[in-house]
Amino acid sequence: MNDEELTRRLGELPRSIEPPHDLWPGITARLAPRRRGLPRWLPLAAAIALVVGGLSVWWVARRATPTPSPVAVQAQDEAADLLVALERDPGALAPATIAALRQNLAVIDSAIADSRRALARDAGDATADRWLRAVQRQRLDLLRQVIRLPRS
Amino acid sequence: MTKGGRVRACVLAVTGLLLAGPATAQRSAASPAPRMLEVRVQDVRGLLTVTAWDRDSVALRGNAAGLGLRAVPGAVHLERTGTADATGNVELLLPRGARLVVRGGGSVDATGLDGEVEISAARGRIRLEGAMRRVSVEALEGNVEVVGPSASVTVHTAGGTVVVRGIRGELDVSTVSGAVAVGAARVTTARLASVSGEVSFKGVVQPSGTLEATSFSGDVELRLPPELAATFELQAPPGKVTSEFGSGTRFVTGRGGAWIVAATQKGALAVRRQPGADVDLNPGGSSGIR
Repeated sequence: MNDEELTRRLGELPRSIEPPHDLWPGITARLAPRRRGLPRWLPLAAAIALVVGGLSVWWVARRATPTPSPVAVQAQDEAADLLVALERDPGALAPATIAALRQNLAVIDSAIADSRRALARDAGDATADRWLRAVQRQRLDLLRQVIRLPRS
Repeated sequence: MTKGGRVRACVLAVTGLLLAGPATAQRSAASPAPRMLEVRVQDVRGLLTVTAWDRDSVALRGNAAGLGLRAVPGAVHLERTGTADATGNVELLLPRGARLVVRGGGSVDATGLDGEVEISAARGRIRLEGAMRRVSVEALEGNVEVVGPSASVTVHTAGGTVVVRGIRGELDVSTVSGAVAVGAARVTTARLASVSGEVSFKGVVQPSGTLEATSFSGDVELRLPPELAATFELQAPPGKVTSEFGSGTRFVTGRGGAWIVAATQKGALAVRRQPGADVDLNPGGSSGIR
């Protein structure tokens, strides 16, 4: 291609070129401020917070009011039943036996009260809890023993 | 000998009566008894003295008015007869290996038995001496003393002191307001518990054996051989623990074969070295606990 040919072809070129389609709307859409929504992680965080909070409340409540074990509840119920049985039929035991029983029940009940006071001060006092269960067990054993005594 | 104290003997011909079924006691006629004879005593008040003898027969001596022996298949019963209130002191003689069951009544003093003894009584003093195979006592009041190399001893009381000396085996003692004193013991397992009384133990715990001594408001004292290999767990109010084996609430001596648990919630706790702990017949006591 000589200089004359080159000059001719340059002259045939358009003065401007229009873009194939309008890109501006897409550009303006990208430049426009986004609408601010909730972060995706927020619901998950809220759920975790709810679970943790709920567990904390449950744990605090549990420590504040210790729940007796099913065995302890059963022992208390049985002891109460045995006492009722003895009170319904006091004549079956000698007065001295009844007096001895009451005296020793008072000793046990005093220990139970002590243990409960310690637990009221510190619901997490495992030692007091162990003593409470042991003395409650001994109370039940004593009542069972008296029930087994030969009647006069 | 006074009239009241005059010996009135009635010896039961056990074998013939057992074969014949229920019958009344025969007097002055001894005959062989089965080896596993059970002698059951029901509501005999006063002091019942039980003496083992090397005869195969059962006899009753002493102030036995209002009492009678009755044979039933496999057993002999000593019981009140009629309406007479039998409150005198009587002596019951029975084969050494017999099983003795006492229910109700007053005090019991038994010597020389080597079978099983089972007592359930509301009141009275109970003293058992011998190499009994198994002892079980339930009493509400009164002191209980068990002496001799018995293999298994269980005592549950409400009040009164429980003394056990010379046991060789398993021990389970619980009381509410009474004290527990164990001496010259050689135990495989022992549980000693009181709510308000003092608990003391002097003896040996076998390797891999366990000793648990507890009192809610009373003192607890253990006297153990210096060479004892055990894991200790001690619990008492601050400043109320004395231990000659180690410090802290949990420690191990030697290879730690045995397991020793001692606890008091309001009392004092002492664990001391005691050479010859299993041969000294004097049970432990309050000495040394401050």
